[in-house]
Amino acid sequence: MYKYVIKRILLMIPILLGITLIVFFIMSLTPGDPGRMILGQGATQEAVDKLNDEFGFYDPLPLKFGNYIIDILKGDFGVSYRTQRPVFDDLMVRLPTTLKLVILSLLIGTIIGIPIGILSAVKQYSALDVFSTFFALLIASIPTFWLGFMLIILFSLNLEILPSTGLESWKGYIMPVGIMAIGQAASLIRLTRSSMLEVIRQDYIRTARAKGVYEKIIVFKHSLRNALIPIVTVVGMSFARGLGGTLIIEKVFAIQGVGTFMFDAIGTKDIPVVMAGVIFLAAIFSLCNLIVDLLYGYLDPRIKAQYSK
Amino acid sequence: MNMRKMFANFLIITMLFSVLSGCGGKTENGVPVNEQNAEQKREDVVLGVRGEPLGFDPTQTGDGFSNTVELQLFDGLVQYDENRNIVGNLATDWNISDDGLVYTFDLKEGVKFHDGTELTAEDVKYSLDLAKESPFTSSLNKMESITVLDPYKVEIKLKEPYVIFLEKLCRPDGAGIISKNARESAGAEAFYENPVGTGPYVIKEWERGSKVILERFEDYHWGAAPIKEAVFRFLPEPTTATIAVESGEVDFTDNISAADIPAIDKEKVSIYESPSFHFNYLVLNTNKEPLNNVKVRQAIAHAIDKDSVAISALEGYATVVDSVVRKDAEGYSDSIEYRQYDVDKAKELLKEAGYEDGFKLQILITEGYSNKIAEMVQANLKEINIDVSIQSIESSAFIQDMVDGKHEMGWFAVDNSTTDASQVSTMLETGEMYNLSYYSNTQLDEALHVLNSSINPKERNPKAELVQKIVNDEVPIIPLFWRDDIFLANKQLKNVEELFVQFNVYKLSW
Repeated sequence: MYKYVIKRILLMIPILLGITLIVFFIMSLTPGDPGRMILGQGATQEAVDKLNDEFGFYDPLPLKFGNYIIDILKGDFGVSYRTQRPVFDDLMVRLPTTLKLVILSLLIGTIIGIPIGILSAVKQYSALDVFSTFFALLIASIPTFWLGFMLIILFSLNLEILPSTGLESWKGYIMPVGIMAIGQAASLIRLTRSSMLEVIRQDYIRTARAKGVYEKIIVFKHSLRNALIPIVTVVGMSFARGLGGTLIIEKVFAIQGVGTFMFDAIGTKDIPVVMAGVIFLAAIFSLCNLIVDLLYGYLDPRIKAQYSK
Repeated sequence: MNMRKMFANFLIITMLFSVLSGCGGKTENGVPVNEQNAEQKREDVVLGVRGEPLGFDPTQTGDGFSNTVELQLFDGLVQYDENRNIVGNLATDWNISDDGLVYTFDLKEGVKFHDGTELTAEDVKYSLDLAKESPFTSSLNKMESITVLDPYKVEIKLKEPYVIFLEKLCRPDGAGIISKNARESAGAEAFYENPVGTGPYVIKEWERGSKVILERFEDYHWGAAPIKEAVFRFLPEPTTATIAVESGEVDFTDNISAADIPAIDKEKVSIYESPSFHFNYLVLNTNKEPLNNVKVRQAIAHAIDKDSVAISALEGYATVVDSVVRKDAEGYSDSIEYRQYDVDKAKELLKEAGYEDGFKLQILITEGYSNKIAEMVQANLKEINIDVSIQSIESSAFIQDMVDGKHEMGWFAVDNSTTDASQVSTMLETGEMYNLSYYSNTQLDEALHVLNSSINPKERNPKAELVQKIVNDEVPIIPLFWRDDIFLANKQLKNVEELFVQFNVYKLSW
């Protein structure tokens, strides 16, 4: 088991290196330069060239990449071209905000989504099932930004109950978290339902019923545990994706999180920020993947048995 | 049963209370908004700005987000009054030598920096020396030297006459005077975040990623500001900023998308608009065929319906122009017969040029509304058989490609920040970096030189007229419009129009 974990962590190194390499070269291929971005339209070409030179922007690519990797190994993610502050510090300013949004919405989404999904599957074609499937489909089809603005118009402009921007007080969290949670719940309802339906039709469930096992035990012990594997995967990946993917919510509600941080960096060609952001997200993704895989082992002893091989 | 009923009632009451408390909960500094009235004046203002500053050292920042805050922290030697006339600020009096090269300033005595020390000529020299060398304040690079004559007198020598030099000194976000002592003892890096100036406000708190809070400087040399606390909240999305003003969370924003204006509730908030200094025009690269043919350029000028362009780009929040020199500039001439939208004339000119069947043309643009401009130009030129293809690229690459002359036709915009006729020289003078049409004309260069170096209207005005005439005849560029500045503000906020002159929160009051 430990061997497996160590092996997986070591495997992350080539993955991260590969991602770094790809993103680095893509960023280098895009047009534009940081000097002009920073100094603006009015600056002279000499001043722009001088600044680009200071950043090492004109160095040959392999040299730039080599230097970058060496710095990262030393734990130095570089300095943002735009703010002239260490990238890591800036990222850490933004991260707590995004973490709060993602964890809260994931928690609420899971608490709502999984039970409704189970109920939908157990009582297939009931009124609840029809309603929840319809709701899940509806929510999944509504673009986040549209829902965001509609709720702002309702709660901020017309009812004047909730603030439309920022996270100044707990009230600020209600709309952004609510929208993210509802989306999370919608996808979990559909997934839990279909996953449960698949399991419920298995022979061993029929056997359990034939033995006269309580329905509760059938649902929660025999069915749910087997149905959880795809659900755990989705929840784990949603967490990782959420850290970088709350951009639209952040934009609509004027929240300065990791999403806008990276998005703005791409716009200003702030390569150190983009690189650090991508590496950070890739690492989180890989870690989440690992945790999900380990959870598989916990959920399904057959998988665990394979790990120890 | 009884228990259940009681529980239900309890639930209803709790819900009601939470809703009610929610309604009254929209407060600013603990005072409910709807309870504020004339007698109980607010002491703070919340401004929705486009983005987060990088720092507050006027000589080391060039981005608009930093500049917006810097305007509140520093003073220039001179300033604009509400009619854009230049009046004294830190300087009480000034003298310009006859050749326009030497400026002597008498400083106001007893002006205090935020740290309590007094302003002297040494601080002025120190600040302007920094600005002179800084790549962020390239308009001040024309200074040759700054000399302290006595503690309250400085002399500035220019490398060449620079007509709008005083206007540049009106901008504390570039030519702001900082405390020499504070910057030297704290170090440039610490000063960047905690600056010391003489302006009406000081930094109270910078909540990274969210807002900057300014507090008024009680010893401000023009008297303390009417508003005690100014909060700059970062609201980069125009729609979000607009809603924030409508809902009362924010009192003011200049970040408005013209498309949102029809939906704004004018009962709740006030909309202000004014022509800005953002000049939008079309560039015709005279190095490229067939744009090297003057008849072709004239034909294009006649074929473009500028009103439609302005409507499609900015919903009409723009001031359409025919002349490259502003109407409110000294030297503007209306005796010239400017080219008007006239498709028949355009066709005729194209026929004379031998391009009756048209040709293919590329227009280079970047992000934002220039796309809408390009689409309209494409439609307009189709009328005269010119087949326009639109190429849109990222903004810094766009500037680079334009400067490198890779374009045929292009959209461009410059921010002049002054009405002076000499501003057009950056677009038209031979050898200028932003002479993107690569047009060269000795007569024009000579006229521009006079505009840049002379302050005598008798000498300047005929030259300004000549410039307008040449541009109209030769069409290296096609003036489109001045984009309007739009402000959205709380109805109770006073003197909002004054911020069109310069973004000084000092002018605002409740």
